[in-house]
Amino acid sequence: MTISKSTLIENTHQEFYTLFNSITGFTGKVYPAYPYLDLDGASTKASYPIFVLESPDFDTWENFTLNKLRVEGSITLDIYTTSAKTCDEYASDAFDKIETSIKTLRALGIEFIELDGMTKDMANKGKLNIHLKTIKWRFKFVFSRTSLPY
Amino acid sequence: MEVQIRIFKNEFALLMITITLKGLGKVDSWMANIKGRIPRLSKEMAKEVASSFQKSAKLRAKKATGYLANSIIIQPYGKDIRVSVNAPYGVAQELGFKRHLIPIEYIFQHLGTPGMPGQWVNNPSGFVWVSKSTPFIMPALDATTQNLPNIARRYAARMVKK
Repeated sequence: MTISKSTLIENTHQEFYTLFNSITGFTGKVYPAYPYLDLDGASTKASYPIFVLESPDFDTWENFTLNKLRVEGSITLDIYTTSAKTCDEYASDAFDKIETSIKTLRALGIEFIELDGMTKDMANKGKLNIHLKTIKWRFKFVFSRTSLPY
Repeated sequence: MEVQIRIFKNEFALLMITITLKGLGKVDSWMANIKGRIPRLSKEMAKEVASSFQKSAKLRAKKATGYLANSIIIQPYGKDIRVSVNAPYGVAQELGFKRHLIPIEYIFQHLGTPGMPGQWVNNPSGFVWVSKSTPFIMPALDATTQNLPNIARRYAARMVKK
C-alpha cells in the first residue's frame, strides 16, 4: 500500500493498523474506536486487551521546498488491559514495533516519527480494574504541491 | 544570540567597554515564530486534554446500553472546547439521587430506547428500587488533572522550540 496526498488519512491509519496488528497479542484486537463489548454485567477478562487506534490527526501545511509541502500528523493508540503489568508490556511492544519499522514507514513517506507522549489511567469496571495507556506518536509527511500556471 | 564585550583604552587613556549583542535578528524571528505557534498549539493542547478527559469519563461511565458513554462528546464552544454529557440521566448518575421506586416497564423502555425520556405507565406490572449512582465525571477529572502537567510540559517545549 502506498500513502499519497489523496489517500493520506485512510492509508496512514491502515499502515499503522497493519503494524500494530502484527504484534503478538495485538492481532485481532485492534479497533478503530472503543468496542462496547464490556457492557456492565457482561464484562469478562477475556474481552481484554483492547487496542484502539484512532484516526490520525493532521496539522497545518508548511512550506518544505519550492515544490513540496510538509504536514505534521499524529496518531494515538489506546491500550486497555486488566493488569498494569500487561499494559506496560503491550506499551513497550508498541514502542518497539514503531521504532523498528522506521524504515518501512519512511519508504511510505512517513518521516521523522517520534514518540510524543503517554498518559495513563485506571478505573474499576464491575470486578475488573481496567488500565488505560494512551500513547501518541508524531510524524511528518512530505508531498508535492500543485503548481499554478503563473 | 551572542554577547561580545570589548574592553579597551581610548586616546585619553580612559577605559572603554563596548557591549555588542549579535543575533538579535534570530531572536526576533524566533519570537515571531512563537507568536504564530502558541495559539495553534494551545488549541491542540486543549483538544488533547479534552480527549483524555473524554476517554477517562467513558471508561468510568456505567454501561447497561452504552448510551451514557456514547453521549459524552467533545464539541467546539467558541474559542474553547467543551466536553458534554448529552444523556438526560447523566446528571443523576453523576450527582446521585434519592432512593426511589420505579415501574419495571421503565427499565425495558430504557433498554429499548435509552435516549428517550420515560413514558408514563398506567398499570405497572411491578416496581424496583433505584438507589445506586456512579460518579464518572469527577473521577475522570481527577485522572486528567494528574496527566495535565505532562501534557502541558510537552506542549510548552514544542511552543518554545527553535
